[in-house]
Amino acid sequence: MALPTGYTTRNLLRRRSQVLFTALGIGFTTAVLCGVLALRNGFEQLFRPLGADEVAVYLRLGATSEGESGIPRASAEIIIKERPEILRDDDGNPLAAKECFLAMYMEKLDGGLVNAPLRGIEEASLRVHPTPPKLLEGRWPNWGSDEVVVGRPLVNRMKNCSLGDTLQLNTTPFAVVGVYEFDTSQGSEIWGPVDRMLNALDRPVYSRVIARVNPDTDFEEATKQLTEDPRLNFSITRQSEYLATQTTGLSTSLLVLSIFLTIIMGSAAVIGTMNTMLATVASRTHEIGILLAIGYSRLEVFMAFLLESAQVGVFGGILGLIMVAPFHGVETGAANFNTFTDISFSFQLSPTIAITAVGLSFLLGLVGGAIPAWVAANRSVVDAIRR
Amino acid sequence: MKFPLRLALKHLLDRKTRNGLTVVAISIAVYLLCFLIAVVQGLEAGVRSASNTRLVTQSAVSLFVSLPVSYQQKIDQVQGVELSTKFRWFGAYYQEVENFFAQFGVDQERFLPMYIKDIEIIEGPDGITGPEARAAVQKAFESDRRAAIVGIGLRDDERFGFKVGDTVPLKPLIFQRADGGAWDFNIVGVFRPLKERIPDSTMYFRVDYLNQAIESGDAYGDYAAGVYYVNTSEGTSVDEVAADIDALFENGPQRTQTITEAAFASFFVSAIGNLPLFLGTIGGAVLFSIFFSVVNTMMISGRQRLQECGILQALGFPPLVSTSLLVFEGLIISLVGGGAGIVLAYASEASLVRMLGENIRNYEITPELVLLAIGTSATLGVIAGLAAGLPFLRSTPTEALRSIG
Repeated sequence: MALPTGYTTRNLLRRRSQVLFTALGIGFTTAVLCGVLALRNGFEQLFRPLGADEVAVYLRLGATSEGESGIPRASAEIIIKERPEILRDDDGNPLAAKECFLAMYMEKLDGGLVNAPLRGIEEASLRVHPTPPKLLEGRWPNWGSDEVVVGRPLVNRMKNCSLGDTLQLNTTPFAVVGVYEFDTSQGSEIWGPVDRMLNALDRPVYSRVIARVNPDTDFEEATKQLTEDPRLNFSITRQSEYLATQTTGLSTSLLVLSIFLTIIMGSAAVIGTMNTMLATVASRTHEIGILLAIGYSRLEVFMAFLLESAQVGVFGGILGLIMVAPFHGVETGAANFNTFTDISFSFQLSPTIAITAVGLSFLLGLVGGAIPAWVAANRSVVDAIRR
Repeated sequence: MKFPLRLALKHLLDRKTRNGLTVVAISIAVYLLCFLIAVVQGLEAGVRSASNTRLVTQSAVSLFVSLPVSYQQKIDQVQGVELSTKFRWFGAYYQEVENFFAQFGVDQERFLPMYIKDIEIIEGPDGITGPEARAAVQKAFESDRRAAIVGIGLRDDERFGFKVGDTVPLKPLIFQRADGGAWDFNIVGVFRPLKERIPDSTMYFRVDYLNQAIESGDAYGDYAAGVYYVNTSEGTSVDEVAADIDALFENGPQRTQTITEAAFASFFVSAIGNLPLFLGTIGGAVLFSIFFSVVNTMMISGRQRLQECGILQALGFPPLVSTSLLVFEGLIISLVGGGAGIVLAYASEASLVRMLGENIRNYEITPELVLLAIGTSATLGVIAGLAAGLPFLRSTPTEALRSIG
């Protein structure tokens, strides 16, 4: 099959402004789709790398998140001292930490109140993770003082979160002594010594115990032992599994949103393409007649126009990617529905998203071009050439 | 200048496919516009119906910190406080986690008097309905520690079907019982919300039921009040009352922050991440791209119309006629498309209300919204027509006649 591709490509160049506008229509669709998918990607990435299986989380039995969980002080000590699955460091101390978690009211720099995650930690919390959090500025808190470190994204989003500021926790002022970076869902939290925090907040119980455990641990068996022990009533979960349950709300909403928007915008873009192509076909009736007269088959004419439309589509897709590219890495925040706290994350474009977008725009071009191409191919040669 | 109306109508019918497609595109855009605005308005309706004279005293630190029960006595003594009640989030579900609904623990003697204008009791014990129901429910609420009052939605939704006289077991997500089981509640009344902010699938029960179980060790949790709802007496300044209450607890054990019920409600809307802005941004981008493609289509029409413009000019019509022909065409197409979008929005309203359910209550296509939709379509039509038709004004008859479209 010999397609008059030179002819169609030159035609695109000849009708530059018309083609550009149609491609822009497809480009906007692609850009919005990419933007929402990139947000979802950025959000999900936070929950992925942390999912190392050698880290385990102990929660109260039946609790689905840290906010709901509560572990009395005595029980936490029993878990850390006695559980056989918990690994120890070179000095023989358990690699486990008691933590508390609270969604705290914080003011954003641009106004408005959000629930920011406040986490009481211990020195061991910093060593539990295989890729530990990094200190960017200042120092880690003294474990016996009223001091906190804040996650990097908070510095530019929340009030009182810069090095040297003071954060008021209930009636106690806490000094901000450091800024940390942790490329996970815990990257936009406020961390301070757990016992000082519980004291300041007048709260009696921890929220969870986090520990590095033996990779061969049988989690079902461990949970069974934890519930059968009359002194305890807790469950143990792999951190990867725990985190997977914490993302569903926002992630699913974003996916549904992107599908919904793609359908709506996609149909509008298809209509736009179809209109442009119909107009092109109408004004090129004479040329189509000539193509048919010099021996191109109807199928070849059909394919040529389809290809022309697909070219416009792909061009639009690339325009869309260019439009959305500046947003890559831009940070924003949203509420994680599962914990009801604000979490900072960024637009993260990926090759998969780019391929999806260009694929979609190609498809939009094809669908939009199908009917006009069919119209073109079915012109009567004599009538067409007479125009 | 005479407007060639017949020619205008001929144009509209001449390009059936193209104009039809444009109508479809506009109807999608207008439908989307109605949908997004109705969602945002639905979110805000709850805030608007919240009271400005009722205060909520909560922890200054966190929504999840429960205030001590001992605070109530001190709050009651503040000048300007008429009535206060504890208000504690319970967080339980019926049978399956999917059947989650809101329950609040309240003071049995104070809650119904406080909510006199907020909820209407429509059914009480022994089949009592009508004006006497409220007193009967009040009596039953005070005499049974496990008593609970449920919204009409919990009675009518077949997933629940709670009737007066039923004992319903609710499984806790927060307050686990020592026996690992469910909490039993006896339904003593059914209410209908009079304010949009109150979902009709809410349950109110006695907070002392929860606190006594915690105290006796039958359940885990802290013996506490949650937040306090405070009615202020008429003629007092709510700001002063709020400041007076907060001053009482400045030094702990829990600092408080007292705000109006309206501010409290608006925090819940904004806490889910400024949804109005998010929907607005994305919706705006979508609308812009659709409008863009409509304008583009009109411009293509315009370019092909240049020759006709030449003919009209040769016949003595000024170029402005050709421009107004295109504006007229754009206006008609947009209004037809906009009308279809509005019809679509009305037609899908009932099923969307069902689908959105508890997440977005008060979804409604209002007359103002319809006006806005019509206005938007008309503006779009005029803009598209002008974009396509303005070049005619600069054209000369010979140039126009020579054009090949």
